[in-house]
Amino acid sequence: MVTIRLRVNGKAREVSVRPNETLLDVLRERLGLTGTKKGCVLGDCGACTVLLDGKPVNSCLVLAVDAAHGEVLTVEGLAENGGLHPLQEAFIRYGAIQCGYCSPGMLLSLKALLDREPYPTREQVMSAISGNLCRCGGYHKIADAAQAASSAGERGGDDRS
Amino acid sequence: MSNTSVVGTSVPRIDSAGKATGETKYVTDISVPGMVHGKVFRSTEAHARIVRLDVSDAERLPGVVAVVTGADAPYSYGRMVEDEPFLAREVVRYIGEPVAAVAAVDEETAEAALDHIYVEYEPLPAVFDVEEALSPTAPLVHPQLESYRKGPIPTPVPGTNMCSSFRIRKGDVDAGFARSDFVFEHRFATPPIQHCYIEPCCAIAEYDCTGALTVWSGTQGAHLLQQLLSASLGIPLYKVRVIQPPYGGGFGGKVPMHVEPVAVALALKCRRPVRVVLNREEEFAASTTRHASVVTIKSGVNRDGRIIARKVDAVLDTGAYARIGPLVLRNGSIAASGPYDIPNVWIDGACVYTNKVPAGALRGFGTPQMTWAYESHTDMICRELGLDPVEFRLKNVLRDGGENANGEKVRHVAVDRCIEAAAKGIGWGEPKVTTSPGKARGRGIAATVKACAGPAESLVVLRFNRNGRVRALVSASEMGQGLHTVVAQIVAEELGIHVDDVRVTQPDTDFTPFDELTTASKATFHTGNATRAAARDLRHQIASIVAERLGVPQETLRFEGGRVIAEGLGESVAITDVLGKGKHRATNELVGRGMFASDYVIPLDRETGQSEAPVAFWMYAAQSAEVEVDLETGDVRVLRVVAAHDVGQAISRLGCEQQIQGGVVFALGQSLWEQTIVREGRVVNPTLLDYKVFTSADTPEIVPVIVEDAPHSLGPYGAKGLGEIVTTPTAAAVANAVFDATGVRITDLPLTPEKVRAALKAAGTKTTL
Repeated sequence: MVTIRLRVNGKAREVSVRPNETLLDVLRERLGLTGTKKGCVLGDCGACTVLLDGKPVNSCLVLAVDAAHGEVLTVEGLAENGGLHPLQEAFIRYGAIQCGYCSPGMLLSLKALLDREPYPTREQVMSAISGNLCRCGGYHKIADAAQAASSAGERGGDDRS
Repeated sequence: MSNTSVVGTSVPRIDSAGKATGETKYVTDISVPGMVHGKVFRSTEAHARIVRLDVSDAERLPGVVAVVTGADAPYSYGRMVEDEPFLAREVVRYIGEPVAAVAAVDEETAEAALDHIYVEYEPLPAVFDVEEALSPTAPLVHPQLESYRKGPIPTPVPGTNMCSSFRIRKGDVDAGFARSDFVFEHRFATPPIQHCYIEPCCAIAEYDCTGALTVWSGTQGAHLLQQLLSASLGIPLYKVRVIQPPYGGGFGGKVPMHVEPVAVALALKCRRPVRVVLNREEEFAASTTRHASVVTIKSGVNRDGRIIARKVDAVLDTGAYARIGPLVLRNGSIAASGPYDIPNVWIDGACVYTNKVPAGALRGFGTPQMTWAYESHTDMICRELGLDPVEFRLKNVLRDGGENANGEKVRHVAVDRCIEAAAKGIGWGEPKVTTSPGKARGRGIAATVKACAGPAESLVVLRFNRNGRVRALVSASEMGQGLHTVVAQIVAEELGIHVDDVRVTQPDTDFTPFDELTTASKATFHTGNATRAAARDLRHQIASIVAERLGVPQETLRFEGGRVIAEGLGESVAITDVLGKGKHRATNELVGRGMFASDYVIPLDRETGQSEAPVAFWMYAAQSAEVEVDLETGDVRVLRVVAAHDVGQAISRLGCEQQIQGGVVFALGQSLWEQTIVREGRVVNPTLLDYKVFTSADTPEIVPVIVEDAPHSLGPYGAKGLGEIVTTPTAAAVANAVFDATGVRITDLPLTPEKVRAALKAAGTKTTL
C-alpha cells in the first residue's frame, strides 16, 4: 500500500492505495464518492470523467498514485455556495438527463469546456462531450443545457449554430 | 388535445436533481454490510461436454469465500422455456456461458481465483447459422427440448432447433399474387447488436437464516425476477424480495437474468451477501443481444399502386437459450407486413436455437428487424415502378376503420399524418442541394407500426399524507425513459397539486404493488392508467372529507392549485389541511389504489393469427432522413432526421422529445455501423470502442414531431407508448436515402463504408475523382 495526498473537491485527503489502483476506484471505494460512475474501465464511455488539475480525464485510466498532489473535482464538488452549478441547473431544466448514468461525466467535460471557453459554439460543445457516451438521449438536450449555462446563455444570447 | 393543466406540458424530470448532483445511488453504487464479490468463470467452447471441472485450487486461495459449479446450484430458469441452467451442467452451449463462479473478499481476488479453475471439454458439433440450424442434419442445441417446462407462448419442436414459430394467414395470398400486376421479392438481414446501457448489469443476493432471499438488482421487472427466482429455486414468492434501485439504462437488456443466478448460487453457498457486476467484455460476449434476422418479403402490387398481397418469412437467431425470444418473435412478426391495409397476408416467423450468446428484447421487440425489411422493400417497389415513395405509402397505409394483418378493424391511427409530417419536414420533393464533387445527397422515408402486446396488469398505490403530499408506490421501472415524471404528472393533474409534491418509490416487491416488468412501451399506458385510477380513488376520499366539512355535495368540488374548491359556495380547503383536522375519522393518511389490466386482448388464433383485439394497443410513426454519401469512401453522413410519432397524447412533452431524439441516435448507430461480430460463436469486438456507439460528434440535427391527432380511447388522457418505436424506422429511412443519393441498395445492416463502397463499385459508380 502507498499513502498519497491529494485534494478532492477542495478538501485535502490522505489515502492508502494499492499501487495498481485507479483514481476511479479510490474515489468510489475509498472516499465513498459514488457520483463518479464506472461504465467500462477501458476509457471508452467517459462515465468516470473527473477534472484532474482542471483537465477532464477518464479516472479509470489514471492510477491513483499518478494523481498524488493533484486537485480532483468530481460531480459532488460542482455545487457552489449551497446552490447547484449553472450546468446542473441547466441539465435539469433542459432535459439533459435521462437514466443519468452518463451525466456526472458529461457535466465535468462541460465544466472544463466552459472554464476555458465561456462562449462555446454548438460544435465546440458537441466536440467536448464526444468522449462521453449517452445511450438514452440524443446529445442535443445536453448541448442545449451547456449553451444555456454558458456565459452566452446567461447574457440571454443564443449561439446554437 | 385533452383539457389538462399538467398533462401535456413540459416539466423538469423529477428524478433529475439527484442524478445531476451524483446523489442518486445506482445499483452499482450500493454496498451491503458483509458483502463479498463474485466473478464468473465462463465457457470458452461454443458447444461441448464438460468432462472434468476442478475448482479445488481456487477454493483454497486466501480471500476466496466460496466457489460454485452447476452441481451446487442445480436450478434452471426461463420465462418462455425453462431451458437455462444457473451454471452449466454437463454441457456448455455458447462461448461465455457461466460454468463456475467465485466469491471473494474483493473483486481482484475473485478475478485472480478464476485462473485456478480447471476444466476439460469434449467438443460437440456446434451450429452458428440459423438456416443451417433448421436443416434436418443440424446438431441439436437442446436434444432434451421436450423435457423442459414451457409457458403458453413458445411452440418448440423437439428433435429440431426450432424454439418457437408464429404465423398469420389472412385472405388468400397466392390468389393475391396471381391477380397482381407486379410481384417483387427481396431478402434482408440484420446483425446481432448490443444494448450498451452505460451502467453494466449488477445484482447483490443475500439469504437470511430462514432461507428468505433478498436481491438488489437493476432489473426491468422486479416482480418478474421475484417470480423467476421463486419458481426456479422452489421457494415461495413471499420469501423472495427484489429491490430495484435506480439503474443506468435497460433497453430490454435488463429483463433477462445475467448476474442474479450466479449471485444467488454463491450467496446460497457462502451465506453472505454476494455482489456480481459484469465487466464490459462480458456485457458484449455473455449477456443478451438483439436477434439477428433474415427476412424475405414478397409483395403483389397493382398498376394503380395498391398492395394486394404480402408474404413474409422471418427467421430470428435466438442463440443458445430461449430467454424472451418467442415473445420477440411474436411481437415482431405480428406486424411484419407493416402499417398497411393489405387484404392478403401470410407471415411465417421462426425463432431458432444456435450455439451463440442468447438474444432477447432490444428496444423494439423484433419490430426494428421487420421494419428494416418491409420499409426497404416498400422503397424498392416504388423505385422499380417509378412511384413516389410518400404517395405510395399514403395510398396503402392503415387508416381508422382499415383492417390490419390480424383482421382487426383499427382505430386511433395517425400514421398517415406521421408520413406527411416526416415528408414535409425533410423537404420531400424539393430540389436536391448540390454538393461538393464526389459526394451525393438523398432523402428517404420509412413508416412503422409496433404492438404493445399485452395482456398486462399494473397496480399503483398512492399514499396521501397530512402535509397534502403524495408518495406513489409503483413497480414499473424508471430506467431513463421518464416514467416517474409521467406518474407524478398524472397524480398532480388529478389532485390539482404540484408535480414536486409527488414522490415516486423505487420498486421493492415487499412494498410496491404488482407490475410484472417494464418493456414493450407499456408503462405510460398501463401504469399511467393505474396511476390515474389510484389518484381518482384518492380524490374521491379527499372529496368526501371536504364535502362533509363544508356541508356540500362531493360532486361540486374541484381540485385546483393545491386547493379543494366548493363551486358556488366561495369556500375552499387547502389540500395541506385536509388531514389532521377532522374529528371523526382516521386523519393521518389516505391510501388510493388503482389497477389497470389490458384484459380486453383476445389471444390470436394459433393457426391464422387473427383476432378482433390482438394487442393492448398499437403505436405508429414515420421518420425521414437526409444523407450525404462520399462516393469515394462509401461513408454515409446523416445530415438530418425528422421523426414524427403518433403518441396519442403527450404526457410530458419534454419526455417525448427526449425519447424521440435519443431513440433516433440509438438507431442511427445501428443503421451505420453497430454490429456484434460473432465468428464461430466468439464475439470479436467486445468493447465500446470496437463496437462503436454513436457519439455527439456523429449526431445530426434531429427534429421531433409529436403527433396528437389520434388519442387512444383506452390510454390515460389518450396516451399511447413511445419508447421503442422511436428506433424502428430509422435504418430503412437512412438506407432509402442512400439509394436516393447513389442508386445503390444495401439490404443487410449496417450501412458500413466498406459495404456502400463495394456496392458503388459493383454498380459502376465512378468512385475516383
